[in-house]
Amino acid sequence: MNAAASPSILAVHGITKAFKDRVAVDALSFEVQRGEIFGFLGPNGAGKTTSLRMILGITHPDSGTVTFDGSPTVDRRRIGYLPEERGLFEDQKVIDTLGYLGQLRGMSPREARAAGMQWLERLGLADRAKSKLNELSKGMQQKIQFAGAVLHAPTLAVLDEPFSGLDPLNQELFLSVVRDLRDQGTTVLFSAHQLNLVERLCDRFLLIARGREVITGSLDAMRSAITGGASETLVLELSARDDGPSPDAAAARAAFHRAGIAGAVKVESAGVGRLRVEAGLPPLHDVGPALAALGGMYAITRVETAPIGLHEIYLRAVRSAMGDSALEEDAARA
Amino acid sequence: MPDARRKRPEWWPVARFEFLRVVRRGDFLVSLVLMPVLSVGLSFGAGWIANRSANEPVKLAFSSAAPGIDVRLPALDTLATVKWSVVSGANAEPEALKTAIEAKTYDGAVLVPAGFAAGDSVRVLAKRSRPGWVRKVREPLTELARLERARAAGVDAAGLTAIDEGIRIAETLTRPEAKTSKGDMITAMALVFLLLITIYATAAYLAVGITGEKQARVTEVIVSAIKPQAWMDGKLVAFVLIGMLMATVWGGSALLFAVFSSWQLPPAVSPASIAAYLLFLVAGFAFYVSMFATILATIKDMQSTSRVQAYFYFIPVIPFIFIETILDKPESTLAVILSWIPFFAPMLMPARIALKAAPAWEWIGALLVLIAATHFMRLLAGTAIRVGMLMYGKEVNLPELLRWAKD
Repeated sequence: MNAAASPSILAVHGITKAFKDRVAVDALSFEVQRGEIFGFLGPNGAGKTTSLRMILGITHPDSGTVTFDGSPTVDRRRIGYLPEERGLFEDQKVIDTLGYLGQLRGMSPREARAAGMQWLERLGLADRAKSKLNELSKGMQQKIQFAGAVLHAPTLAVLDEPFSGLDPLNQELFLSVVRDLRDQGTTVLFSAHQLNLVERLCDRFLLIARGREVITGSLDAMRSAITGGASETLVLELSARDDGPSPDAAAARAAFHRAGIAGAVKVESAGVGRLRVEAGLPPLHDVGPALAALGGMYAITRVETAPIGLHEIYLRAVRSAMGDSALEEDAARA
Repeated sequence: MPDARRKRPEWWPVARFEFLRVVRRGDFLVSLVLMPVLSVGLSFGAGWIANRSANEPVKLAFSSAAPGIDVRLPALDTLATVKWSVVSGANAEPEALKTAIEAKTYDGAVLVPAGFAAGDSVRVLAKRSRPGWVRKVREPLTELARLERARAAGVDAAGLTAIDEGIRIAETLTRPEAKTSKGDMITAMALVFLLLITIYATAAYLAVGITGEKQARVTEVIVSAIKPQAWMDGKLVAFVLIGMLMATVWGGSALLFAVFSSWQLPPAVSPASIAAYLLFLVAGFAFYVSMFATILATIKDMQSTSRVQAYFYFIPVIPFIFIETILDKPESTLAVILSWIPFFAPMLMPARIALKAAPAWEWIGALLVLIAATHFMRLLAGTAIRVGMLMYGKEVNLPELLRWAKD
């Protein structure tokens, strides 16, 4: 154990896992730093759950190593796991279930029940402690499962699709709870498809497809890598003036080029006589010339600039790694 | 980190949780209490029904043309469930008797001809064929015919008793220490029976605890905290404790009932024999539970367990096919081999111990083999859950299981 020496709580080196007819995870390597929230992303069937199971020691890699807190042996009792495929003892009381899950992680019955009660209070379910699980809504059950995964204050919490089944209010609650967890010293390894939420939560990301790394790093680093420097998006909507011509795609592209916006310009219809124009921009780029050029020809009804989001990075990275047809095949198979 | 994390074995919380989960179930408590209550109830109920039927005897008309044959003869008079009415003259005519039976004056009629001992048929009148009372009447009339035939042959009652006397057997044992007692055999068989009903009673809870939990997808959460083998070990410990709780309550109730009722208790059995029977009861139960757990761990959902439930009821009675072999020749090669095989040992070895046909080294050896087999089955069950738990919607087959166990 060299907890003090290494900033990394989890180091995965070249793990590979093949099933009968396919390689699920292919020489995957990454590290999770102590105290960070790490987003582990990928399309359905990319090998995320298999990787998480190997990290947890539930299945073993065919090759490669997993090092947890400097040790080649994963101490399961210091890890909290919320699996994607999950269930609970429906005929049991909430507090009994939490007590049991805490005991499995090495807590005494009393400690486990006390920690369970604290989490129920934190999640607004203290009054349901003695309810049976089959009396609770799906969202409530989801909260209980989350509490069961983290009530022993794990060193590393592995959360696979924690937002599934939650309404927007509870999604916000979960964001806050996961941040609190990190602030209390738990490192979080996180997998989810709700990219808008993941983007707000995670410090760093790893995106995989077909069992291999596609891109990794902070959001800024990935954005920079995937866009070649054009990290902002400019969106305009154009429509015809009373006596003027209808907006024209070629004219819009030409105006952007004249204004020095050299990257890809996406133009699409936004309704009858209207166009939506989208282009990537380098940071702090002056958009005045483009607006002046287009404003001379058409009415500009909407102007918006925003950083390129995780959703866009994800799509571009996965498409560039796999191609659209492979993506569709994988989605159909998953 | 709480200190407890390093003190308890991993399987302990699973065993505790599973044990409490089952014993707190209403249906478990009902079955635990209901079995002795039903047994006592049935026992008293049978007595009450017998008593009741004695108070409501079958009313039979009786007429005899045979000299000396009368309902006052002890053989007929002592039939507790028959009330005789002697009829004669016109009342003994078949047509009159038919009318009386239809009018419910009698339940039936028995007409004994003069030559009944020589082979003439005794005539029976009844509403429908083969009424139950004919069997009861036939036996004493046969006895009377036998006495009549003996008298005709010049043999008196004392002579006939002498003829009927069975032979006496004087037993000389080449091994005096191998003298068996009735108590030994009754105790051994009672505990084997207890083993059987405990296996049956536990099977359903075992299915819920293993396949049901797998279906509910709880196992992945649990095996992220402890090893799959520890999960299975906890389950097995819990179910062995649950089974032994049932066996203790049921066996104890039967013993108490025997003590406080008119049952004749078997003669005393040596503590060593009782210890041997109990060891085979516990080890045998653990073996069968481990075997069933292995099967259940390969099944994907509770609906599919109905496929194997029938086998769970059938498999434990297979050893009883060989029980006669054991009783006839408990020291034969076949008996010895069978009683060493773990599958048969829990049922057959206690019988051989009761017959004093298995020396201590032999039953202790067979017990160790049974324990080793239980250990192997436990590991196989752990492998089955490790392999099967992640195969949602798919079942593990035997080749896969053996391949993974080998790995």
